[in-house]
Amino acid sequence: MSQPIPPSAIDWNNLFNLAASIAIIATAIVMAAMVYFVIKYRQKKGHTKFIQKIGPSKSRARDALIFAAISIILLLSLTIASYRLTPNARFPPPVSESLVVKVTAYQWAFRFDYPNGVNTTGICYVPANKSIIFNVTSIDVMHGFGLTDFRVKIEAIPGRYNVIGITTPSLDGNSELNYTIRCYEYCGVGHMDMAASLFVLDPTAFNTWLNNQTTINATAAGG
Amino acid sequence: MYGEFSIKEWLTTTNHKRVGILYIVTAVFFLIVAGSFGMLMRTQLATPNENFLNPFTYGQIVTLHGLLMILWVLTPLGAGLANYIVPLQIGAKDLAFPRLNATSYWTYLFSGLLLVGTVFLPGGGANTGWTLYAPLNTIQFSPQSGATLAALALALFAVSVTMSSINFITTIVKHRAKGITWTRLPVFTWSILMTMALALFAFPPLASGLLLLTTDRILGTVFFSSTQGGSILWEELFWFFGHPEVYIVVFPALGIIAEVFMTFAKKQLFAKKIFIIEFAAVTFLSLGVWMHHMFTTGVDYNTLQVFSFTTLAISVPFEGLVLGLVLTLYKGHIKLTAPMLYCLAAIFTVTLGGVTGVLQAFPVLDYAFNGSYWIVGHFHYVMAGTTLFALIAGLYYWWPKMTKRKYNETFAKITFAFSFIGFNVLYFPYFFLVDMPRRISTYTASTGWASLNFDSTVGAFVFGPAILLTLLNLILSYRKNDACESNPWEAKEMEWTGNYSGLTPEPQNVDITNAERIVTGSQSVPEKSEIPNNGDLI
Repeated sequence: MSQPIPPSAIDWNNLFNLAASIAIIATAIVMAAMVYFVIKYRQKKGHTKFIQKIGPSKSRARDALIFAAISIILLLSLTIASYRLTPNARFPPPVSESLVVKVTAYQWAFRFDYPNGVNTTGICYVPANKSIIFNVTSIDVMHGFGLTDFRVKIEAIPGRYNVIGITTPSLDGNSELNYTIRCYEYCGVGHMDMAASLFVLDPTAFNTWLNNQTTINATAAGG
Repeated sequence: MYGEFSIKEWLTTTNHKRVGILYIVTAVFFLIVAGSFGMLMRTQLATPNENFLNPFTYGQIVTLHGLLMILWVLTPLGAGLANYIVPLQIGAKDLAFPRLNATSYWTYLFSGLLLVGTVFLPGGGANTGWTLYAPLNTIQFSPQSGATLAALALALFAVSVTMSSINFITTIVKHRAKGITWTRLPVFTWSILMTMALALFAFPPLASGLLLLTTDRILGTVFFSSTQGGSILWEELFWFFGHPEVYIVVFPALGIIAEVFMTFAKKQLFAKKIFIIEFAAVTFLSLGVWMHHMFTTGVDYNTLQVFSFTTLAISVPFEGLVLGLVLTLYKGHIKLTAPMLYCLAAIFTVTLGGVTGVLQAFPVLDYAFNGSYWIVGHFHYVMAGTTLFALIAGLYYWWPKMTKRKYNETFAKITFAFSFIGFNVLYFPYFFLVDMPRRISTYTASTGWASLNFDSTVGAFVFGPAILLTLLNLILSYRKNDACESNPWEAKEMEWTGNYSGLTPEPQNVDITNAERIVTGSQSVPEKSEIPNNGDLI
C-alpha cells in the first residue's frame, strides 16, 4: 500500500519542481544557443579573418545588462518562495502543541528519548497528524539526522541541540506508516549502517505503546 | 633529443616553463592515483552488499580521492599551465621569483607524496572525508598517526599555494612587457590573477585551522574536540577556504575556455570588459558564501537567509561569464577541433553544475540535498566536468606551444566522445539518488539504489580509460619526431604571436624565439642552467 506523502515533502516538491523547471529551461536555452552557433557559424573556406567586434559596444553592454536583469528577477522570485517555506521546518508549532523527542546520535545509532522518560534505540514511534519536534544532539562525532521522505535534515553536533520539526501525515487507512531516518554526515566506519525507522502510529496506539513502555522500563529498572 | 636530457637540470630548474612541465606531469600522476581510487570506489558501489573494500579502506580512499583531486590535481594542473603560459602571455622573462616558484613546486610534490604515503602507515591514513570534520579528525576518534601527517601534508600544500599566489600576483602586476596594459591583458592571465588573489585569502584560514588541528593532535589542546563549538569552528574555517577553493579550481578553466573559443571561433571575446568585471564580482562574492555548506548545522534563521541570498547573488555574474563565453561563438568562424569540443562539453557541465548549485542555494531545498549523492553529482559536474575537461582542452591547445608537436586529432575526437558519454553516464544518475548518503561504503538491496549505482559504475569504466587514452595521445605525439609550425591554430594571443606591443602590424611567420627575447626586461638573475625561452620542452 502506498504511503501518503508528508506535507513538508509536498511543499518541497512544489518548490523543487518550480525551481528545477526554470533551471531546465535556462540550461536548454544556453545549450540550444551553443549548438545552434556551432552549426550555423562553422568555419567555411575563406573564413580566415579574426573578428574583433560585432556591433557597437553600447548595444553589447545593454545586452549584458538585460541578461543580468532577467536573472536577478528570476532569483528574487525564487528567494521569496524560499523565504516563505523555510520556517515550516525551522519554526515548528509551539512545544505545547507538539511531541518533543530528544534524539541522541552516536557511533553508530540513534537513540530517542520521550518526555515521560521512555527511550528507544533504532526505532522511533510517533503519532499521526501531529507536530513532532526533534531535539537533535550527538555524544561523540558529528552525525546527520535526515528524514528524506519529509525533506528535512539537521546535523547532530556534540554539545549542541539543533531543532527540526515535522508534521506527521494522517494514516489514510494504513495501520502504520514507516519512514527511514539516515545519517547524512560521514561519522566513521559504521556510517553506512547508521539508520533508524520512524513509525507513524494511530494516536491511541501510540499512547498505549508509550504507557506500556514506561511500565516495562520501570520493571526492567526495578529488576 | 634524449641525449640532452639531464636529470640534474630538471631537479634544479627555476625556469618557468620547466617548472610548469613538472607541475603538469606531477598533477597527471596524482590524477591517475586519485582516479584509480575513484574506480575502486565505483567498483565497490556497483552492487549492493559488496565486500570488495572494507569500510575503513573505503573511508580512506574517499578521503584521499577528494583531497587529491581538488587540491593536488585540479589546482596544480591549472597552476602548471599558468606557469608555462602566463609569462609568455605578458612578455615576462620568467616569474617574478623563479626560486620561490621552484620551492612552491617541490613543496607541492612533497606534500602530495606525504599524503599518499599516509595510507601505508600502520593504522592507515585519515578516514574523515575530504572535509576532515571535527571532532572525527581529533586524536580521540582518529588515533592513527597517518591522520596527523595528512593534516601536515595539507598545511604544506597551503604554504605552497600561498607562495605561488604571491609569485603570480607580483609577476602579473609588475613584470608585464611594455604595451601590455590592463585592457590588453589576455583573459587566461586575468583568470590566473583572480585565482591567485582568491587563493591568497582562502588558504590562510585553512592553514590556521590545520595548525590548530595539529596542536590538538600533538600537544593535546582542545580547539576542535571541545563540545563548546569545536565542530562549528572547524566548519567555519574549512568552508571559508572550501568555497573559494571551488572558484580557485574553476577560474583557470574559464580562462582556458575563453582562449580556446577565441582561437577556434576566430573572434574576440564577447564584451571582454564586462567579462572581467563579472570575474572580479565572482571573486569578491565567493569570499562571502561559505555558510551555504552549513545550512543544516542549525545556524540561525537570518544567517541562513543572508547566505542564501549571497549564493544566489554570485550566480548572476557567474551566469554572465558563461553567457559571455557562449556569445563569443555568435557569428564566429567555428572550427571543431579537440580542444574546442572539450570546451563545449565544459560549458554544458558548468551550466548543469551551476543550475543544480542554484537549487542548493535555497535552504529549504538544501535540507533534502545536503550530504546526499545529489551534492556529489553537483560538484562532480563542476569539477570533474568543467575543470577537468577545460584543463584537458588547455593541454591540447598549448601542446604545440609546449612541445612543438601536434597530437592526433582523430584519436583525440574519439577519446573525447568516450570521455563525455562516460562522464554523463557516471554522474547524471547521482541527481536521482537524493536519499543516498555520501561516503557510504555499501548499501542494501532494499534501498532501491542498485540499478543507478550500476549505471554509474559502467560510466566510470568508460570515463576513466577514456581520460587515460586522452593523456596517452599527448604522450604518443611527443614521442613522434615531427615538429609542427609555431602557431598551428593561427591564434592571435600573445603567447603565440610574440607581438606584445600591439602597435606594429601583425608580423608574418614571426620567430617566437627572438620576439620573446626582445621584450624580456626582467629583473631575475640569470642562472647557469638557463635554457632558451623558445618553447622547447627539453
